[in-house]
Parts: sequence; C-alpha cells; structure tokens
Amino acid sequence: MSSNTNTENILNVIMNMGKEMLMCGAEVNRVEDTISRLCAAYGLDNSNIFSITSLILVTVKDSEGKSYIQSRRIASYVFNFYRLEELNALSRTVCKTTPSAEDFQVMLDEIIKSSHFSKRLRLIGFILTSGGFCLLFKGSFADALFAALISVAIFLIERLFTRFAINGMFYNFISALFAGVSAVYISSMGIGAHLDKIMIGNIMLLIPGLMLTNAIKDMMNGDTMAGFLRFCEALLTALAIAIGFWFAMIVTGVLSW
Amino acid sequence: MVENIVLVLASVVGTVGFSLMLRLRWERIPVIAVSTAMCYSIYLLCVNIGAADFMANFIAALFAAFASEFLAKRIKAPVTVFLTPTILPLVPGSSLYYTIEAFFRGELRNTLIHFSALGRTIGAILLGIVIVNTIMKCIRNYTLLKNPR
Repeated sequence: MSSNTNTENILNVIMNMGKEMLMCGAEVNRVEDTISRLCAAYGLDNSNIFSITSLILVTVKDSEGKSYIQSRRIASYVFNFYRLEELNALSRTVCKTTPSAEDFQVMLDEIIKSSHFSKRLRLIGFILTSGGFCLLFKGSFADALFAALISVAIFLIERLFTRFAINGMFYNFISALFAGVSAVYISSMGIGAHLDKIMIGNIMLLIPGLMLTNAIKDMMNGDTMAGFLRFCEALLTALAIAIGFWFAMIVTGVLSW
Repeated sequence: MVENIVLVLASVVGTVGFSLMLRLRWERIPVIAVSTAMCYSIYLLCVNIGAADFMANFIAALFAAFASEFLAKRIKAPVTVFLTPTILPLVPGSSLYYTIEAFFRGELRNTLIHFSALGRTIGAILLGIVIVNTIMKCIRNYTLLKNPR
C-alpha cells in the first residue's frame, strides 16, 4: 500500500475519533489536544487543527511534504461521559502502540457500540435529579415527589423529540411549558405543594450548567470562538426555559395577558 | 443540624441522579457522591459562619475543582467527568427561577435582586474553576519544562 492512502486512512480514523469526543461532551481544547497527539504518534508532526463545537478542520503534512485536509461537521451532541472516558483511554493506548488504520477503526467502533445509553438508567437519573434538587432548594418531600413525577413526563417528551429529531431549543421550551402547567395545577390543588420549589427541581434538569462551564474553559484556553458559540447556546437554552415557563403562567391564568 | 444533613443528602441524591443522566461509569459514582457531599458541606459551613453567597460559592467551587483535578490525576480520566457532577449542587437553579418569575410578573426590583444573586453565584463558581485550572496548567507546564519528554 502506498504511503499516500495510508496517511489518508489514518487521518480519517483520527477525525472520526475527534468527532466522537466532541459529540459526547469533551471541551474543544481537549479534542484539539488529542488529535495533535495522535497525529504526532503517527509521525505527522506538522498538524494544524482548528475546532469549534460544530466543526473540526485538520491539515497535516506527511514526511514527503504532501498536505492532507479533512473536516468533520458535528450536528448534535449528547453527553456521554462513559464513552468519553473510553475514548480518552483509547487515545492513550493508540499513542503508545500506533495500530494500523483498520485496527484503530475497529477499536473505535467497539467503544461506540459498547457505550450506548440505557433508557431506564436515564429515567432514574431524571427522577433522582429533580427530586434531589427540589429538596436541596428547601422544597418539602411532597414537592420533591411531584417534581419527580413531572420529570418522568419530561423524560417522555425527550424520548419523543429525539425520535423526531426536533431541535434542543424547542425541547427545552416544551419541557418548561409542560412542567410549568403541571406545577401550577398541582400547587393550586391545596395539598401543600409549592409552585416555585417544584419548578426549580425541574429546571435543574434542563439548566445548561455544563455548557456554560465548558464555554468559559474554552475561552480561558484561548478558544474564544468555540467558547463564545457555546456560551450563546447556553444563553439560548436559558431563554427557551424562561419563555416556556412564561407561556405556562399565561396559559394557566397565573399571569394576565 | 438535622436540616443541614438533609440538605447534604439531597445534594448527593441530585448529583447521583445527574451522573446517571450523563452516563458515568458505575465506579465513579461513589467517589463523586463523597466529593459532592464534602463540597456542599463546605458551602453550608461557609454560609453558617456568615460568609456572603459569593465567598461561600467561591470556596466550595475551589474545593470541587481541586478535588476533581486530583481525582482525574489519580484515576486517569478527564477532569470534566468529576467536575461537572460535583459542582452541580452549587448551580443556582433557584435564582434562575426567581429571576424569570419576577421578570414576567413585572417586578423589576425583585428581578434585579435575583439576577444579581444569579450573576454572583455563577461568577464565583466560574472564578473558582478557572483559578484551579490555571494553577494546574502552570504546574503541568513547569514539570514538562523541568523534565521534557
């Protein structure tokens, strides 16, 4: 096999790996770092890497001075730290052993296959998160129970939306709307439940805290553009939650038109 | 005292739930539960001895960031894996809610009060993370300089 196609193939797998890392919630800085390490391990010392949250662009030069350019577009991401850890470990071993492109791709596929989400665990996660944080922000046990009930509905909304591939903004809006309407009705039933506490428990499910910390970290590392994009995304998410909740208060008549 | 214990337990329950949402490895969850409990206890301690919300959040965030860096180094995993769940109980969900509510009710004074609390808390958390991150980077670069690979 000529060295041309070999470099092409290696770069291809490295890019797939970078894409997977971004998709499961790594910071841009980490992705760029991993790609440059991998390139160096395969003897492609002269690598130029640019990445933002939705795009990776890499140019490498091989030993004969020929350039290779590849890019990857990242459309959506779901946080999956199990996969992130596995990918991190894989990059360590690959840097040490430098397997062939085919073997590398097989290892990558194996990790992706073995690290899928379990729906049941995620549902339990939703229930514990909303209930726990409802208690944390001084809600009563009844509030926590209702927040957990509403979180089950939010989980179902999420399932529905991922099936129809509707964007995240609208998902946040609908979830906040639904949580708001149910919380208003539950709290007006006169069983000692508080509207604000139930809502806070559910807001913690949707809040873009991870996005915000990643954004600031990216900016501090000098990736102003990547950080800024993520920051805007976090703000938009918060806005979608706010508008959804506002809509709920209007629909239920808590606020006048 | 009992009330504080309930709060710490609630923070642990919430964090464990969020860890499940992020699909963390099982082995990480007990470690994170302990570091979260410590982080939130530090926060409560600061509040009880009369620290303002900025200072309390800042100190707790410093602890969380240091603990996460330490764990990441020990276990050889990305820092985000530990930091995101540990810091979560400090995230000001209630301030966000009250800001939105006051804004849409048209109570501008209350909006500003809650919004400034929101800004202070987020600022304190981010400042804590960034400081630790920078210190760690300095240490790493220094050791690289001393014994280059």
